[in-house]
Amino acid sequence: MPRGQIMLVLHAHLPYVHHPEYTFFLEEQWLFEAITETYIPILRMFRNLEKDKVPAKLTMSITPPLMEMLANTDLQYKYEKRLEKLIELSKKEVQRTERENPTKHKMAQYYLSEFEDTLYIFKDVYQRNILNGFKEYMSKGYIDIITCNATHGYLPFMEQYPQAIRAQLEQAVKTYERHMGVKPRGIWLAECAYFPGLDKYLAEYSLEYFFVDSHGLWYADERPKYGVYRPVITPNNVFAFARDPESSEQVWSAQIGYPGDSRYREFYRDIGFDREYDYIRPYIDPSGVRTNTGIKYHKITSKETPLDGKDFYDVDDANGVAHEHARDFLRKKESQVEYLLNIFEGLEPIVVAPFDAELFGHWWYEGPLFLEYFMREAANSQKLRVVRACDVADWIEKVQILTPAASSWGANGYNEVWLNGTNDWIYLHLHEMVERMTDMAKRYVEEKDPLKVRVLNQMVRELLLAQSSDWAFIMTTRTSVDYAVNRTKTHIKRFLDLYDMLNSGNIDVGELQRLEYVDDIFPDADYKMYLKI
Amino acid sequence: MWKELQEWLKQDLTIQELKAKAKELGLSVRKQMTKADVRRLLERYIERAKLSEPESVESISSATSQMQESTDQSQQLPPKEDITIPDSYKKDKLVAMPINPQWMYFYWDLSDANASLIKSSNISKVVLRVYDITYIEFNGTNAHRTFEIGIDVLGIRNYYLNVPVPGAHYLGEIGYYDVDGRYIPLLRSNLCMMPTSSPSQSTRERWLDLRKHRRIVMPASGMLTPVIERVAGSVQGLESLFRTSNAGSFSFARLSGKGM
Repeated sequence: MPRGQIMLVLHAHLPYVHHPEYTFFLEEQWLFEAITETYIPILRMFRNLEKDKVPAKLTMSITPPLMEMLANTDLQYKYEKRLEKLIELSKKEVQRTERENPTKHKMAQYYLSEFEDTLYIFKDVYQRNILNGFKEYMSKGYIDIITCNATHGYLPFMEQYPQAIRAQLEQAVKTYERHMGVKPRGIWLAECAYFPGLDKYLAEYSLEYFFVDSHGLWYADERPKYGVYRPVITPNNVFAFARDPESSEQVWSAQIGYPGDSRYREFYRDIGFDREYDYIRPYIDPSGVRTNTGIKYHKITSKETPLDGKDFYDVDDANGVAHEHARDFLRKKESQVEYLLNIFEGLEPIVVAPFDAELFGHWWYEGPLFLEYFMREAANSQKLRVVRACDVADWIEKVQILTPAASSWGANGYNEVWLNGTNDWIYLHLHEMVERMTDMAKRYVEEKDPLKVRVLNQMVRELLLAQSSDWAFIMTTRTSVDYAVNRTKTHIKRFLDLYDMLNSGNIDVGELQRLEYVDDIFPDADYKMYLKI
Repeated sequence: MWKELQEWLKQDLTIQELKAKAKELGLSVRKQMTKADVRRLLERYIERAKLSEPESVESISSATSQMQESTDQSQQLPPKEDITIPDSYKKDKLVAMPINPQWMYFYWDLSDANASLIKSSNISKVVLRVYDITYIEFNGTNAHRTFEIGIDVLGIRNYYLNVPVPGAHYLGEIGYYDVDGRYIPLLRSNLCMMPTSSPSQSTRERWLDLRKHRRIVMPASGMLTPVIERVAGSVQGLESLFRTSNAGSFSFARLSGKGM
């Protein structure tokens, strides 16, 4: 009997933030929080499902900068230290909460054992590199891990520079292969951003599939017969999957979405802000600025409740809610595919539900648990089958040929998040850098002097890092703006300095070494990528 | 100590060099070890060295946290780096970028020669032209439509423009009128293809049979699924709502179409 198919896609990405010259750097905590709250909980989910022999299928992009950070020994060491401090704090909390409140005390004990388990998984199970875990579950058939363009650069704004697009893709494929041991089959385009013609470049790097937002298919050059519920193939023979708008709405909507349930954990109440300063001081930013610790004792209670009026959080209650929500989501998906099967006259609809991975766990604390329950429930469904992108690419027999429309998954569906009055100034520089990089690649095409080659390759790193769409995004959202502006300017300046060094023949080896040390992404960066015009 | 080693390892080293270093450090090197093996051995050595080092928590405040005077005497911050970047590369350049189906963006940069030309007395007016050249070979005069706005190209460096046709292909041009009223083009942009915002009117459908490797072309049957489109102003990409508290509040306020 035909069944509907559902493909859950998690996009795991953080911009490359590594400051080896500092022992503690606030923005490095983005990675550490995501490891503790999202990446390890996802691995834990696979461990649980495997133990119970539940088949699970997930598609997940792990972007090149994220892979580079997860495999970086300095960051691994910093993370371990951070986690050890957190365990130390949890032990104090267990003692302290005993006198405070039984629910709080229960949660303190829960956090202690969670963090100890996290450390165990990080250190003992995966030898500090959790990519080992993702690799393991990829080889066991649970996850399809796909790549993303090198530094999450916004490809529609490189349209006039094919070599810049190729460098983003070539570095992506190389980085994936270096960490995963095989070539990637699929790609998540940064910000889901597509423009007609991009498929040609994807085909050049043997990428078999990518994802677009719903209107990428709705407004394609020919009407997609099955809407967003079947992949299409582009004229260059790359599959495109499109986002189902209903699934995102069901999970994330501010009105009806699951994460807003009153019994779930409140993100904005953290003991990093709640405890008295002297006590919490050793566990926050060493500069003395209060930061999140990850220990949170309150639940949402209700949206109207002010932060200081929130009730205590009980993980067991929340667990039950996550299960309830997973069942509800499955029911909704079953009825959706039933309806689609009907109008498709028996052809199996494929529902694609992509999300930012960090929303699961980091923002929606119970998210990974929800996923786990969903996989368990779906394993018994008669109407629905969970699939990975690679499964569909292997099975599909007949597919419509389309060129998707220019689109992204950003606010309003196009490019305005990455190009507006807050960030438009960056493009003069980003484009200039591509032009200079290209000129230099041509001029030094036969270069043998290892020192000059190092300068050229470091220029590639600075350029790629400057291109991260994250900086433009952060400028738009007006949070951490200074950091994003500084990072952009820093990479532009370093690039221009290296360019001048090469031009003048006056190479400052010490400075080159310093830049290789502070911007240590992509050891295999190769300036010759920019010859591919 | 380990820092030096870490630096040293960043170079492209031969297996002999790596093995010699490992031996020097008292690590046991076996004959059949590959280059990668020896590298890993050295990396593990660095890791252990790091772990055994007494922890010296240097205080650091990042760009986003307010700098606070630290009492910690061991603080060793790297010297502040100059990140002043130029505001022009003195190159003649006009670049067009699509924002969404209705708005496009231009930025430009000028060589000193053209900057002084524009200031010269025989120029009566400088303009930004936009040609609609959708699906045509443009020869300078055959555009479907031509739009023109007078701009101060030296005073401002970019422009947001509301354009009439989604999906159209536009070309920008900066030019001027001389005192005799003649139009002289100065810089031309790249071709800018605007996103579309409506379903295709095409009457055909193409299919690929992957097993038989056959292409099939047939009359369009339309879309079987009803589509509820969203309109600009609503919040799409609900994901961003959770990434940040104020996402979705992005408005067109900044896209005034009035330049800066």
